[in-house]
Amino acid sequence: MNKLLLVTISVSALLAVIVSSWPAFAYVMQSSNYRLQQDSVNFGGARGESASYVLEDTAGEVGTGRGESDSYILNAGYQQADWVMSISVPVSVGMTPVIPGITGGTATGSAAVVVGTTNQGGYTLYINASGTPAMRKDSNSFANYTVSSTDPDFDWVILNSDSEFGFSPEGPDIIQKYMDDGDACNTGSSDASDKCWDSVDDSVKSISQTSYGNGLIGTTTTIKFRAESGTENMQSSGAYQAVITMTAVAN
Amino acid sequence: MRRGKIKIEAIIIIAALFLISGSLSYIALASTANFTVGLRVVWPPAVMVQWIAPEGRVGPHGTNWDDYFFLTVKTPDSETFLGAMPYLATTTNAGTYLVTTTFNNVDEEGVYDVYLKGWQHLTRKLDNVFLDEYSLNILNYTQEDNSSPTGTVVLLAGDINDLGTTTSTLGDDVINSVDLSLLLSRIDDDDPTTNLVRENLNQDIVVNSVDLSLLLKNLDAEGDN
Repeated sequence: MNKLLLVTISVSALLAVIVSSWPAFAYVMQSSNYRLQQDSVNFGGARGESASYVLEDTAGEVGTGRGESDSYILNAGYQQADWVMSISVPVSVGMTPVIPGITGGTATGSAAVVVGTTNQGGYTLYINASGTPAMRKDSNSFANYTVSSTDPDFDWVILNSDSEFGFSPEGPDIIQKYMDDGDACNTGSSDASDKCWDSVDDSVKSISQTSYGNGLIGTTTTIKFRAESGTENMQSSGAYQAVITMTAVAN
Repeated sequence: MRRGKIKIEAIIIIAALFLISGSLSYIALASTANFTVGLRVVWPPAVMVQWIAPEGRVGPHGTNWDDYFFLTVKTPDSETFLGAMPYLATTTNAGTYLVTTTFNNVDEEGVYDVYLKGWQHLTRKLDNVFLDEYSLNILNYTQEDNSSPTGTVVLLAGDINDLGTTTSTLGDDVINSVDLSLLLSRIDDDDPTTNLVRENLNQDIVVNSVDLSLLLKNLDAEGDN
């Protein structure tokens, strides 16, 4: 292979990599009335319908299919990306009742997080807070909930001298870590209410997962939040806030 | 001839590479949403009064400063009512009320305006007082700025209309002809215990011209309300 060919191939390969790794826009072309989300120029493909099924196929693409590594999942090909995912959360959660700063108390609240996807591989739902400790007011805060082992605590327990903030996920898709056997977490297959408490901080934690598409209506994971100031703790007064991020990732 | 063949091979390879790259489209694989979780902690800040100096009292400094009063707390800017003592408290002869006092709806530390209305006196306001939740907050109405030593600021005397038995009947916070008429009606009345007759502004043993002079000096004055 001579030098010209080598240079040409190298430049082309570089261009190919750049083009293929450029983030996809929400559409690939548009007119005054329409936008085309995605396309594929090949030699075959069509939409077929029967009374029971709809089939869309594309022929002629090279290098399609699903590829996985430890860090990434690649769905290559025109039809591969033909799925959607949605997530809905409340605007805000107000925990009640107010907590007396001197004598202590407990406040609770919950958020319904609905995730729906047509991705055949399902989804994984993650939770994290914008900072740590999560529940803060100026320089004051509730500490992140302290779990007594590597698994979530079946019962919420804090020291009387502490104040802490944590969560417990509930729903049909919660992962094994948050399931219980009526006595402990990360064992059994039950989902007892207000059990299996964990901390929420600035690192992401998976809480729900499916291995199949659950449809656009989605499935609700309820995040129970709890904050407590112990009877021997003096908690500064005012409005505390945590910013919670929910991320649904296609499997 | 050979160079032309090489060019054709290069074109074929380039085309193949673009075909491959063209099929590697991808879209975002994650959806993210944020929300806030909030809670409120309450800790009513506590106050004590040290000192108030009723105007014109007879006797040595700080020995005849007893008075009925109540406190009101408002927001500093909009003067929105937050809370008030529901009862009349009494200061000592030294002008102190060293009883821990909190207010409904004043349940977190912050900056407030704190008003004191006396039994015979116009309301006086302490502006922009920081009420700390961790420590006892001392209110000193003898200083304009609530600083610690005893100052020279007094509660203006003469607001003596209404019954004067509850926080809502402690006068109209203006010294006018109504108060003057009440005082004139009691002129020369004795007050042996010095503090039972409301018109006895200087708290000696009689309602007389000294009390009248005090009221006339403050005629048309209004409280900080």
